[in-house]
Amino acid sequence: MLDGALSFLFIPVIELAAFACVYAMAARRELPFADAVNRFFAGNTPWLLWLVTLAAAGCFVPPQYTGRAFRLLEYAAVVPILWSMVIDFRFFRDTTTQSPRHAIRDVIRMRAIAWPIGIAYFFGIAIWSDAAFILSQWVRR
Amino acid sequence: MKVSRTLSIILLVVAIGAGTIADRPVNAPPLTLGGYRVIAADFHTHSSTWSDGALTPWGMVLEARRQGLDAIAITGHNQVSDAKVARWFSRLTGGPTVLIGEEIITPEHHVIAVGIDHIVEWRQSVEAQAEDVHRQGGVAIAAHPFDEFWPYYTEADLRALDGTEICHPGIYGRASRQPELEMFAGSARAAAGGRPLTAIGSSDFHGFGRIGLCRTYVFARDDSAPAILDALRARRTVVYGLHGKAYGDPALVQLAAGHPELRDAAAADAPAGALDWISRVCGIAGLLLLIVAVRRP
Repeated sequence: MLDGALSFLFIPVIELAAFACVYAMAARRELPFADAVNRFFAGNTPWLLWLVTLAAAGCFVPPQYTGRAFRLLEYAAVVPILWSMVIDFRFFRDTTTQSPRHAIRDVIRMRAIAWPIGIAYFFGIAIWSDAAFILSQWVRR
Repeated sequence: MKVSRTLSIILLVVAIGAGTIADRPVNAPPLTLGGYRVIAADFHTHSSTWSDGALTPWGMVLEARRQGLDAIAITGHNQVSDAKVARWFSRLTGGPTVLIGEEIITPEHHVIAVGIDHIVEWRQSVEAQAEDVHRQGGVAIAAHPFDEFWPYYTEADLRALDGTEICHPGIYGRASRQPELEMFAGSARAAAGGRPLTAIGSSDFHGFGRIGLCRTYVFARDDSAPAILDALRARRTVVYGLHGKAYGDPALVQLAAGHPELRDAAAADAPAGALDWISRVCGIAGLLLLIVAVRRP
C-alpha cells in the first residue's frame, strides 16, 4: 500500500507545482498560499471517488470481467474530468480571479501545465514510439 | 463528521490488518522434477518508474517474493533502468532472481527482451530487434500476440523469435484470445520449419491483478539468470492457459501434471479467503467514508 502511494506521489507533486504557477500568475489572491492549496486539493473528490470505484472493481469483479469493467471505468473518467473542472472553476472564481473568463483561463492553465508533465512521467519513454509514428505519418502526408 | 472520520480509520486499520495476515508470503520449498529445479517465473512485468505500473521496482521484488516467484523480468517500456534498480535491490535483500528486461514497443508490435544489459532500439524490425537481444545474450519473446498484431509480423520476424506468450491475462477477459495465442505459436512454428517457440506465460503486471498470474515454470539447472536463459533457449518450460490447459515441452508437461499446485498458482481463479474479503470490503468502505468525511477542509 505504501509502495503504491509512493509510486503515485508524482500526481500531487505535479498538481502542487502547477497550482503554484497559476497562483503566482493570478491577479487577485483571496487566501494565503497554504490555505489555497488545502482548498484546491479538496477539489480532487471526483477523482478520489473514481479511483475507489476502480479499486472496488479490482476487488469484487471476477477476473474474467475485470477487463470489461476497467474499460467501462475508463470511459466513465469523463465524469471526474468534467466534475473537477467545475469545482476548479468555482475555486478560481472565489479565490484568485473575478471574472468567469479568467477562471476558465486558470482552469486551462492548470491542466496545460500539470497534465502533459504527468502523462510524460507516467507513460514514460514508450510514448515516444507512438508519438514518433504519428509525427512521421503526418510528415509523409 | 468526527464519527465518520473515526469509523473510516477503524475500517482502514481492519482492512490493513486482515490483508496483511491473509497476504503472507508463499514459502514453498524448491521443487525438483526430472533433474531440473522448477523455477516459477514472470517475464513480463512493469514498475511505476516510466512504465505505467503501480509499484516501484523494489516493491515489485517484494510482491514477487510474496507471490512465490523465483524469478522475474521487469520489462520497462523501451527502457531498462527500473529493472537494474530492482536487480540491485533483490541482490541486497536476497529476493528472487531479477532479469533485466525491456518491452520493446512499436506501434505495430510489442516484443519482450529478457536477459539483456542495455536498451534495444525500437525503430527497427522484430528480426533486427531479436538479433540485438541475442547479441546481448538474451531471448526475444512475442508479447501478447493477439490477432491485431499478426499482420505486422513477417516470416523472418517469426523465425527470429525465441518464445511467445501462450498465456496472458487477456485470455480471461475473452475466451477467443487463447486460440489466437495458439494460432500465433502455430504460425511461428511453421515459419521456423517446425521448430516450436518456447511457451511463455506472463502477467503483464501493471498494478491490478496479480504478479505471477499466468506464470512460466522454467526447468533450469538452478535459479541463476544464465541457467534460466539457457532453459528458455532449450524450450524447457511449462505454462498453464485457460481452463488449466498445459503448454510447453510435452515430457515436462507430463512431469508437472503430478503437481496440481503449479497449475493452481498460475490460474486466475485462486479463491479468496474470509480474511481477504474482510480486507477488501473494509478497505473500500473505509476509503469511501474517508473521502466523504474530509471532502471539505
